[in-house]
Amino acid sequence: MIAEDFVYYRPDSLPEAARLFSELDHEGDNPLYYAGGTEILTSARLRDLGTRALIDLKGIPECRLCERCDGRLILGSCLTLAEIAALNPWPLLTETVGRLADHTTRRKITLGGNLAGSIHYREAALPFLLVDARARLYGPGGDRRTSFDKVFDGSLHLGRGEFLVHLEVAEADLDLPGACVKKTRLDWVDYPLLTVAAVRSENGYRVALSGLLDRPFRARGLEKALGNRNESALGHLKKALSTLPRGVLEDLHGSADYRLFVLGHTLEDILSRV
Amino acid sequence: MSAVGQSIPRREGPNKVSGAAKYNDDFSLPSLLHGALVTSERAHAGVFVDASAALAVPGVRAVVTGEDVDLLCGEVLNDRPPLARGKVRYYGEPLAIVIAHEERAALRGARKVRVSYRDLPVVNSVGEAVGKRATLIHEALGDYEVAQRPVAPEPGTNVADRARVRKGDAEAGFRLAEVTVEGTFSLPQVDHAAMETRSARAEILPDGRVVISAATQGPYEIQKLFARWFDLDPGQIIVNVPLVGGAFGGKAAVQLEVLAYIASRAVHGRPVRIANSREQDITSSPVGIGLEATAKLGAKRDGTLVAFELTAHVDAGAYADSAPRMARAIASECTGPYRVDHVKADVLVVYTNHTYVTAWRGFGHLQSTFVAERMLEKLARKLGRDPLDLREQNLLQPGDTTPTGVTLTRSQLGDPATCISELRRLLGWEEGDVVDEGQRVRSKGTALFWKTSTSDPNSISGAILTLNANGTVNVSTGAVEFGPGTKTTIAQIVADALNMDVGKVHVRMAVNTRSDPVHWKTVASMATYMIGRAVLNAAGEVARKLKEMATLTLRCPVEDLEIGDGRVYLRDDPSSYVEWKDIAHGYSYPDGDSVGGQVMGEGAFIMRHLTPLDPDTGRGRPGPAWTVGAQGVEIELDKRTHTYRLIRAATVLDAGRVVNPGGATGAVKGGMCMGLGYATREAIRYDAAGRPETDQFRTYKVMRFGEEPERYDTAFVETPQEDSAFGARAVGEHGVLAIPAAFANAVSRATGKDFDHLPITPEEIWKAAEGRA
Repeated sequence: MIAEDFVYYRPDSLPEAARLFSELDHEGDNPLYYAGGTEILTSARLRDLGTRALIDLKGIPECRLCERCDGRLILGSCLTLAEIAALNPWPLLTETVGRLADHTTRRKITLGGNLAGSIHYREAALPFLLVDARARLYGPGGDRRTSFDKVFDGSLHLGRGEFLVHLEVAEADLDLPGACVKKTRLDWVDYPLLTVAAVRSENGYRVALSGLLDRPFRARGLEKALGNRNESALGHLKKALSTLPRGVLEDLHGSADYRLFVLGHTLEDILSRV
Repeated sequence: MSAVGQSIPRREGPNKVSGAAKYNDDFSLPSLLHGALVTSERAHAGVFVDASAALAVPGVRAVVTGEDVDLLCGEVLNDRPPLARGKVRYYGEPLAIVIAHEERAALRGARKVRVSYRDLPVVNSVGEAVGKRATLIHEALGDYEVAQRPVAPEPGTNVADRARVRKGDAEAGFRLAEVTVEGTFSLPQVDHAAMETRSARAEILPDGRVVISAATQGPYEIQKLFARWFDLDPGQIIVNVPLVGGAFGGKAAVQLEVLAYIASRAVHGRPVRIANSREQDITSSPVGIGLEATAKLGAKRDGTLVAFELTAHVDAGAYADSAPRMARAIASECTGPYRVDHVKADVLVVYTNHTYVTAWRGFGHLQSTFVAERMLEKLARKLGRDPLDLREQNLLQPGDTTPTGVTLTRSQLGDPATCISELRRLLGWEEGDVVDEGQRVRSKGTALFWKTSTSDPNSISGAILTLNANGTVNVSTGAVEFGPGTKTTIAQIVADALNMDVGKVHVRMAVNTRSDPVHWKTVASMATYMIGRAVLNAAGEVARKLKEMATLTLRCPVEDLEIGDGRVYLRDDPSSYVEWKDIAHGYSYPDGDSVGGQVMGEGAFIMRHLTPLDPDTGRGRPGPAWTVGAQGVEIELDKRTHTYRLIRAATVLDAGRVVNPGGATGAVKGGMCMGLGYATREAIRYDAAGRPETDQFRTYKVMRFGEEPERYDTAFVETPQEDSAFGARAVGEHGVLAIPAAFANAVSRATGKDFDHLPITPEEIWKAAEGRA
């Protein structure tokens, strides 16, 4: 049971959402933006989040777009993972989000919610890390667009009162051969031991990883090592693994060494597929 | 057509699947108050609780802390305060109850209770608990009252009890042995993970009645303990149990009921409800034991077992509860269903700063089976013998003795040899038990289980039958229905005993201790046996009374009569009969004059010939009979990734007589699924500070639909247990028992390595392959 009271707001427009946030923030209600609610509701059951106001963004049309426009695919932040998978505008993204949580929960988790979540996996980010994605944001300061990399370095960094409206990807990028494979400790439904997303462009492979470190990241060192045509396949991998940043996780899902072992054979499989 | 042997769908099924069925926390009362628990955030610390801020929260009526309750509870040893007093011994231990007019207010109040901790060293494993200079968890161990003998705590240590079995002469036995194998094993604590979390309600009425409603397996146990702990007249304690949503032993523990009563007492007897969240159910309420053990098995070169030695430490967590009895169970059955003349077992109950334990499906037998069956597998490998052949060669026979010195009869043992031969057939054993397919290897692992009930020697049960005006029959028993279909099985036994249509037998689903006869507690898969016997007695009385009434109209002696299909009739001329409906509530003569009364019958049952086990040798009789079975698991292992696929799990169990094939198959399959969960993924884990890391289903992983093996196979052998109604043996819990061992044997055979620690994940297999184990 959620013990604390809060007021629920459902704005119809971007400016209304931002205005509500400013007002409620000013009044000391510590407002939170709300989409799928899987994190907010499950956390609120266990402790007082300190918020007295929730602003539901799902009623804002710009946050629910899934359309192609001017050579770009626009994905609204309040699309659920189940909707994205069903609409399947980007097969790599469908393959990625299709393994998050379970089906019931995917009908609630939103693209923006997964990126903004406090749980560190944020697997939905992986395909966007592999291409030149752009983000549209809105807040009390107004509307802005910027590259995805500028607001996401493993977690989302936004101004106070700002929220993600949508992500954009170039249509050409949608067709890059790619794959996303999730490995867990054992169970089909579980947090990742690690999730590997990769695409092959004309310049070589691009790889992004979640679950290996405490944040999802683009493994540029790995990509360089994989691109070296002078090495044998195994040599590639060994050298590639040695380029990974320190801080490989060691937790109840698995040890760091085991994660590296799993990464090795998963990369082998993905690269032969892609 | 006989009801026994039919797959009658469970009687409460339509209510359960439609949502109409009511469980304990579905009931509401006028003026019900809500109690929220404040629980410890340290595994071991001195505590001071300041409830003043909580009392100021609107809606909060009272706060109860450990200072308000001077009581030590327990099942065998009274070592557990219902609310921590001055010290906490496990993360999640209840410290206070905040009582408010609604749940939200109680939760808000609970969050305002301030607890100051004075950290103590955390005893985070059995090894740390028994090590030199171990921190003592129970400094006053020597002062605790014994609730139920035998128990022998060792003050000045963290050992709450020690179970011993000494059969023959193990030292001499090992000298006779030509081959010896040794092993070290560990199994983690596990959660019951019942669908329904625990809950309890208590009310103290002005007329003196104490009314408890709880999701419990032991309403009469609650009645007995409350009378003792709170100095009450047991006749004034009424415990109600509706349908229960899964239990697996976890609801045999008495915990929330005490807290609800204490809370009610603090608010002048107003009814107070306490219900666990899932996190509380996993961390605050008791869990299943963990075990660490070393074992040695000696045999002749021809495979004949000679000697077995076991030293085991039970991780009982912070309080002992029923762990001493489980330690005895482990020691008594430690060899598995095999003839071993020389046995030495020492099973210690060890306190740690983990969540305390209670009964968990199998009552220690899953753990003892794991050790015994892994040892046999090691021996089979060393001798180059087929594992099933080796087991078959050493099976107990009628006339052999168990580790506790019981001389077995066929009735008591059943037929393990046929279980093995049936298992060979089910698994396709002759087609190959380890098949290398290049990158993959398929492997079959097998193991046998046996279990008796470890009941209290004075365990009782009863049944009351009453007839309705239309000749249908009501059945009142003290058994709780928590899922195995116990009530339906009982209806089938009544139906056959009275030669009537099972659809006309109405078994009460709920239990009320004031009106239903005592049933010891609904544990140990003993309901069918105990209530079955009580029902036969009661049915005998009903039959006699029906016949006596019938003599009034049929004008014949009682012995000429038979009953069946709602009639009493002359054996030599069935066309001469009277219907039950005309005599069930008395018989009226044509002139209106009436005689007789409602036809009723009662039956009582008590376990016979059971004895407590000798504290030094373990000699004694722990239960009326055994259930044996053979289980197998087939896996496919990927040698490159070290991941595996579950292909098949099979059980052949000697059920004595299968009362409800559908029900029995379901219970066994559910057990196999639970066993696979224990083998592959379930484990309660603690961090370095003794905090549970697995307090939700996100982290405490159980088998999901879709992760199960491609097929489950179940077969039953029927060797009657002669002192049970229709020969039926206990079957409810057994499907779980040997599955972890069978799985570990399959992985061990596939890899050539030893897997002696649960759970067995792909990482563990990788570590073994890399030599990192």
